[in-house]
Amino acid sequence: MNTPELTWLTAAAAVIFATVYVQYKPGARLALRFARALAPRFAHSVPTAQVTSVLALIFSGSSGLFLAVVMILAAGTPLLGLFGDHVGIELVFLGIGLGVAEAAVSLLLASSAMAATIPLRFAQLGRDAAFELSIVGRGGWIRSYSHALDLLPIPAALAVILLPLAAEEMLFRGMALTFLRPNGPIVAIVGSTFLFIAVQFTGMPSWFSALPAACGAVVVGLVHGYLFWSVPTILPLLVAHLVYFLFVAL
Amino acid sequence: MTRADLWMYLLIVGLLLSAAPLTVATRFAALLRLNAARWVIPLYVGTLAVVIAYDLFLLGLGPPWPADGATSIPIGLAAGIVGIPVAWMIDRSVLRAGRAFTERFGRRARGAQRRDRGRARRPNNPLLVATGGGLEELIYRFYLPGLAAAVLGIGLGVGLSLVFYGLIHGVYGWWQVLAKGILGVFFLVLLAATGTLLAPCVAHAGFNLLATTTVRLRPRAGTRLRIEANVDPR
Repeated sequence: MNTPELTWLTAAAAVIFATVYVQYKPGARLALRFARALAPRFAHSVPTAQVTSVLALIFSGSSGLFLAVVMILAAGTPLLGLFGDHVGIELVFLGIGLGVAEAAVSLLLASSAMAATIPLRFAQLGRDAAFELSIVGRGGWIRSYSHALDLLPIPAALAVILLPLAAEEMLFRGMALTFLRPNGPIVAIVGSTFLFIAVQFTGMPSWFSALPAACGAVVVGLVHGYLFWSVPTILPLLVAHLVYFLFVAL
Repeated sequence: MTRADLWMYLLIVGLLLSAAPLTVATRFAALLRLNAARWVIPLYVGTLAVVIAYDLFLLGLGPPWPADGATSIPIGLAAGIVGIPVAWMIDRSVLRAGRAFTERFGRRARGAQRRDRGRARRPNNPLLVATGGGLEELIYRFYLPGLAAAVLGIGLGVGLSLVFYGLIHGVYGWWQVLAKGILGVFFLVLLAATGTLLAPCVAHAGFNLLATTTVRLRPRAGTRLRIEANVDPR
């Protein structure tokens, strides 16, 4: 790797890391604070905690989407270029198939990873591990998605769920992979996937409860990275991410 | 999107679907609130058939049978029938070695874990399981290695198909994963030796029929808890 390539890689990695850090650390905290302040105004007949988590989801998703769009535009990448030169219904069907297939592989890997690490978790927590098992997969951000489905009509709930998922696609494929593209497929795909896996551990109660999401991130990150590298169109990946989520988390 | 792009998308979807059809069936059963003990096997066989149809018609991969059926069918049938007791011996040997290893070196099962184990039971329909075994061979010995080889190369493709074939048996414990992985190698050898997929299909279906009518399988510790964790609390 020559000096200009190394300089570009360092700069791109720094920008990507800073953007993702802002979104998932201070950004997420700020979103939660806003949500807590606003929730009592909306929570008339439902628990305030549920409204808070749905509002946090909306704020966090919007801020992630905003950050990704700003960074992509600042880098001089045309935003509409991310959707390719053709948008058709067949991309939606491809996305649905891809989402179901990715979810199946992720669930298989997640159940194997959990089975492999259960003895370790029992050693760490003793009998409390059994209690943790009963809430695994529904802790952290996953709970917010369930609340959105509980509180809102289906179309509105889907829109709310799509916001953070779209933000993830824009951040990790639209921004990170596009920025790392000049450094070759291995750096771009593995780099964006690594970051995607790392953020799954934020906002979760423990490493063990983040394990299913991390296994999903391995599959989604590598597959979406490979597909976006080969065919730079983000629409089927967005649909796949939503279908994946509904298939796994509902 | 060009035809080549579309083909690549279809290829990746086919590859992923072929890797974990059992999980698709399990998840559909959970989403439709169906009784898993009764419905997972029929759903699995249905999913296998759909995935094979996808690979066959949408990807146009073609049937795996050799053209000279007149000679390959009797050879495949004979080798498959001979392969049933061999597969049985391989599986039992690995599991017996695993049990001996665990008793010698493993920790004693704790009370909590022992209680977590589900009830031992036979699958509800041995004939359906046998059919599924035959269909599994089409997926795990022909379509999955082929699709994975197109993306990752032949070595990784075959390795990946063996790993996923082992992992789908993971609900019964790690020794089952190893035993079925080794069994997968035997079925591959059978395929390579006879040149027809009929041999591993017959051997696998026969093995499944034998196993489901003589052995009771017990889910590993923690399975019941994980199933409960998947039950919607709402």
